[in-house]
Amino acid sequence: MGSDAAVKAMTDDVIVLSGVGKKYGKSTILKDITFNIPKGSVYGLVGRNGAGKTTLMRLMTGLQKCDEGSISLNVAGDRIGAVGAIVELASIYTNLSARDNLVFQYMNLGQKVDESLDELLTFVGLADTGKKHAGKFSLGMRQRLGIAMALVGNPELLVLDEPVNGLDPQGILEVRNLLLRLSREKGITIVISSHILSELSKLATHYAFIEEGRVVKTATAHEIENAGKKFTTITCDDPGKILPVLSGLGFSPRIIAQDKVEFEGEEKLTTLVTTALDAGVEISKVDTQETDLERFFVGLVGGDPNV
Amino acid sequence: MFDLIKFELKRIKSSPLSYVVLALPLLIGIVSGAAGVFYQSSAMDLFTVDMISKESLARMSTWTALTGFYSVFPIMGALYVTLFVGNDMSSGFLRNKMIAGHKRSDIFFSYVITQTAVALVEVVICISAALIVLAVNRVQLDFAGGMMFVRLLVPVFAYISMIFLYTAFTLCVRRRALPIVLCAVFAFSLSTAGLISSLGNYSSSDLNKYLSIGERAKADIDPYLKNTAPVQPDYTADPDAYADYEYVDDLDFYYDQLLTPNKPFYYVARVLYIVTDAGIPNDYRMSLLDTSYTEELQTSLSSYVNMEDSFLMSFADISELSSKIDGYRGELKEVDVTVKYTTLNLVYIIKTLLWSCVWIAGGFLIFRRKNIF
Repeated sequence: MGSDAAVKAMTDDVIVLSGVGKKYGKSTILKDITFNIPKGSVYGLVGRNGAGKTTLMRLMTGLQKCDEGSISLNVAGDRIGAVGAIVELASIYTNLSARDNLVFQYMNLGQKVDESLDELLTFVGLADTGKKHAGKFSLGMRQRLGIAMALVGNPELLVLDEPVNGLDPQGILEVRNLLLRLSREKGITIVISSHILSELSKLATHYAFIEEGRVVKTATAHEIENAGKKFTTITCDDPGKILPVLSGLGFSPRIIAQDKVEFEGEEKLTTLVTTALDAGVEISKVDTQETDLERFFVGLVGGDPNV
Repeated sequence: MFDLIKFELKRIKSSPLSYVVLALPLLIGIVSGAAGVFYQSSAMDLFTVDMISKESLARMSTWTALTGFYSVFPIMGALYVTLFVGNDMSSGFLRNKMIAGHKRSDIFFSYVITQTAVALVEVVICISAALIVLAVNRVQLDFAGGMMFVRLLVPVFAYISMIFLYTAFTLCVRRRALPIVLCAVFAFSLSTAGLISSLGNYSSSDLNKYLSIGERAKADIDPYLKNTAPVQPDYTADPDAYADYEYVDDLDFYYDQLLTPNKPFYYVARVLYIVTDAGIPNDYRMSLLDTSYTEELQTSLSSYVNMEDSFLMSFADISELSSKIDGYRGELKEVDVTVKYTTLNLVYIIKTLLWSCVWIAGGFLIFRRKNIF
C-alpha cells in the first residue's frame, strides 16, 4: 500500500484509490479503479460474483499488491494495526478461546494486553464464552470474534468482506448492530461488501458499484434515495392486454411475471383501473415503489430486479 | 520482527504439538545412546574385535549417540513444521499479520528463525539424552580431539537446511495437506538417496585404479594362499575348501561387492552425492572407523591368524603372505577413494549452507510475490 503525503495533507479521505489495476496471469481482475473513501463513512462495495470486490479489498488491506495505480492510506503514522479486516473468513485459531485469540492479536500488533481486551469482548458480546474454543462457536460468534480481532489496534479503517454471509437472521442482526455502533460510537470508517443488498442498504452511507473489474458508479445513499425514480407494478389477469393501454398513457411497460407488469413512473389509481377496465383487463393490485439499492444496481449493470 | 518472533514463540509454547515434538527427541536420544552402548557391549566385541579397534569403537559409540537424531528428525521436522506453520495459513492468522501491516519479509523470517530455534532445541535434547545414557553406562567416549563436534555441525546444518525448506514450502503452498505429504516424502527420499549415493559416490578413475591393483593382488596372492592353506587334520578333510571359504571368498566379497562400481546408478548417485546432502550418514560412518576400504582387506588375514588360536590348527609361515598383502595395501592406500575427514566436513558444510540459502531465498521470493491469500 503506497503513501502519498500530498494526498494526506489535502484530503479527509481514508483511502484514495487512483487508477488501480490487478491481473492474475493474463486475466484482468481490476482496471482503472479510482475513487475515494471518506473518513467516518460506511462504504459499500456492490457487484456481482467475480466483479472484483474481494480482490479490491485484498489490495486495500495490503494482502496483495497493485499491478497498476496506487492506493494511498491516510491514517495517523501508517501505524501497525491502523487497518482491521475480515477478508473472506474470520482469521482465528479455532483451538483457542476468544480471549486467547485476542491475546495473540495483541501480540501480533505489538501491544500489551490490558483491560481493553475485556472491553472488546464485551463490545462484541463474547465476554461470557470463557474457555470455550472458537471452533465451537456459531458462525455469527466467529464473525463477531473476527471483528473484535480486527478492532484490537483501534483501527481507523475496517474492511469487511461479506461479513453476514452464511449467518442466520439473528446473526445478521447482531453483526449489523455491531457495525452500526462501531460507525456511530467510534467513528470508524468501514468498507463493506455484501451480496445481501437490502442488508447493505441499512448500513452504507456511500457506494461503489463494480462491474467486470471497473467502478461503474459511485454514489451516496442519499443520492440513491433521491434518484427520483418510482416504479409501479400492476398485478392483473392478462398482462398482454394491458401493455398497449399503458403505452398509450406514455409509459414503457414490461411483463415481469405471468400476472405482473412493471413500468417506471406512477399514475393515479383511478386512471389505471378505469383504462384497464375499458380494455377488458381486471386489475387486482397496484404497487408503487421508490428506487432502492437493488433497482439502482440493476439499472447500472442490467438484469432483472424481480428475478 | 521482534514482536512476530515473540508471537511465534508464545504460539509454540501454547501448542500441545510442540511438547510432543520436544518429547520425541528425548526418546530418540535415549535410543541413540543405547545404540552407542550396544556397540561396545561384549556381544558386539565377538564380531567386531578384528574389524575395529577399541579406539574406533569408542568413536563409533560417540558418533552414534551424537548423530542418532539424523535418521528420524528430518521426517519429524517435516510433520511439525508443515502442521505448525501450516496452521497459520489455514486458520487465516497469517492474513491478520499482513493486514496488521507487518512486512512479508518479517513474517517469513520470524517463522524461519523460530522453527530453527525449535530444531536446535530438539537436537540439544536428543544429544544430551544420548550422552547421559552413555555416561550412565560408563561407556568410553572419544570425541576425536573435539573434531567430532565440528563434524556434528554437518548433520545439524543439514537438518536446519531441511527446516528452511519445509518452512518455505509450507508458506508457498496454500493447500494444507500438500506440504505435509511432500515434505515427508522429501525426507524419506533423502534418506534413500543418501544410502544409494554413498554406495556409488567414488570417483570412477580412482575406482578403476583401485580395482586394477585389487586384481593384481588377487592373482598374486590367491595361489600362494591355496598352497599354504592351514592343515586341519582334526577339523576338516578339505583344507583347500576351508581356505577358500575363509579367505579367498572374503577377498572376492570385498573386491566384487564393495569395489565394483554399479554403473547404472553410478551416474545418478554421483550427481546426487555432489549436489545434495545425500550420503551424510554412510560417508561419516565410513570415515569414522579409521579403516579405509583397503584396511578391510586385512580382516581376512586377521581371521586367518585367529583361527590358529581358536581351532588349534597348524599353519604354514604366513610372514611372506603378510608382506605381500602389506605391499598391495600400500599401493591401494595411495589411491584415495575414501574422502578425508576435513574434506568431508568442508564439502558437506558448504553444501548445506548453499542449500539453506537456496531454500530461504527461493521460499522468500515466492512468498513475497505469490497471491496466496
